[in-house]
Amino acid sequence: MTRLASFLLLVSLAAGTAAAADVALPSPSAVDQNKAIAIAYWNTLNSKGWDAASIYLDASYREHSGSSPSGNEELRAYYNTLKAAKPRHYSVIVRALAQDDLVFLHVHDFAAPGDFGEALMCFFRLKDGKIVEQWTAKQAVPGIRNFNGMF
Amino acid sequence: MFQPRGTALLVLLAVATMGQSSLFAAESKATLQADANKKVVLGFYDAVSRFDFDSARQFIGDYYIQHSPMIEDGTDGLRKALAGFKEEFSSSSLPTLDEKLVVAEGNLVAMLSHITPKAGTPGIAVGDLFRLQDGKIVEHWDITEWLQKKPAGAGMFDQK
Repeated sequence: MTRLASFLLLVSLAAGTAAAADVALPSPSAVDQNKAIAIAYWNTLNSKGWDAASIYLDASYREHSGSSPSGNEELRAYYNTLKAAKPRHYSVIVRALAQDDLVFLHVHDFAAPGDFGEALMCFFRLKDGKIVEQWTAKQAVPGIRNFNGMF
Repeated sequence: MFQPRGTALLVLLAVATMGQSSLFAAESKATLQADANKKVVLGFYDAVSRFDFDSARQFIGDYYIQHSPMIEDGTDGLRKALAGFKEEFSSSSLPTLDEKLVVAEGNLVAMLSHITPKAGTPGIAVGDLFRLQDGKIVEHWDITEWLQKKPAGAGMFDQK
């Protein structure tokens, strides 16, 4: 290979690298990180309680669900009361998805072992590595018309 | 002296560049697939909201595994469910269906929607999860929660 040819190849390779780096894609690591944060929040909330879990929440955190109150102090009292009322409660994340600034968790929540439980679909919005919003829809797992189960 | 070192450097560079471009290609392929799946789900949802089984059927694959507790398994279960909804709502206006949040990753698409069967009522929060195979929906999970007139806090769809 001549010097000129190798120089040209180098230049074209460098140009190719620059072009690839210019492609505007959401950073996969940020999306994966968001997913890990939402999972960590959920598991910490359910094992250790609100105070330990709140490190994952932004100061502006808002929770949208039928039963959650507004305001972080109110949420703290709400979760502490729940934890005291249901000491055998546990929660299982069945699957998790993440895209852009959103994370989705499909959750089977049990008031106590042996319970049919509740099916939950939780959506989180994150900003700068903190959870800023959560929406959760829930439904008691009932008797069903197919044999596939709710999960 | 230059040539062997230069060639080695070139090979190294070429390998590094190839690795990087295939990584980008894989990432953009996954993103494209997730976005394509999202479109399929939104098309399906549109058909379902009109209780139009024939249109909805086009978005479904060779099989359809149903986890929604009130709907029977398979494509036929969906047909029956939509026929039932059509009858139930024929006397009133069609419910409004508003997609609020959509998250797609890999072969799954999750969505949170607000269905208002009757204008002026709080309606239903519906969480849906779909699994797709080759651009068709093959599995469905859902959650339906009837919303209260006065939620405890921010309310499900009182977005900023």
